[in-house]
Amino acid sequence: MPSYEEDLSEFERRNAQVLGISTDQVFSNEAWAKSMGGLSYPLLSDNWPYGYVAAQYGVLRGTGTVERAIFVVDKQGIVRYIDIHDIGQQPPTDKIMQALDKLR
Amino acid sequence: MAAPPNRPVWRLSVGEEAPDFELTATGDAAGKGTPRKKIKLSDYRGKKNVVLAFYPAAFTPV
Repeated sequence: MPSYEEDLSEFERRNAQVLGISTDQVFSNEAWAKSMGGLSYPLLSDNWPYGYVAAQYGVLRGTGTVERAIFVVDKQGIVRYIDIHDIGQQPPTDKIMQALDKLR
Repeated sequence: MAAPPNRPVWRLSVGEEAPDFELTATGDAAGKGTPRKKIKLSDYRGKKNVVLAFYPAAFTPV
């Protein structure tokens, strides 16, 4: 997640809002964000019911782990780009920017 | 046959409508003391593109 901080103006230029989502509770996300010096986008808690949104997007594993995944949603609410990565990897930001460029 | 337990059973596809949600969130700037709020995906409709970044857990290294 922290790498998006550097790209924030690039997201803004493409009229895109970044939303981080995990099954952590809000206080946990706040503490984490604080430990990184704060973020310029919100972190959402998908913890009640646990992983409900992740399950709807198909990124909740049977073991209860949420995958590292990016979904670009356009202004009409349609999914335009999906990138799912191994948990240890960060999705490439340039691909996300390319997907957003097609929407403008 | 049952799906392997460590893989999601299905995935959302490009071109499909993104399932709407309303979740409790940190403020607009996480960790900077902005007040907590509820965020609804459909609030951005007609206004902004949205990049949903699912991540495994807080405090995981990147």
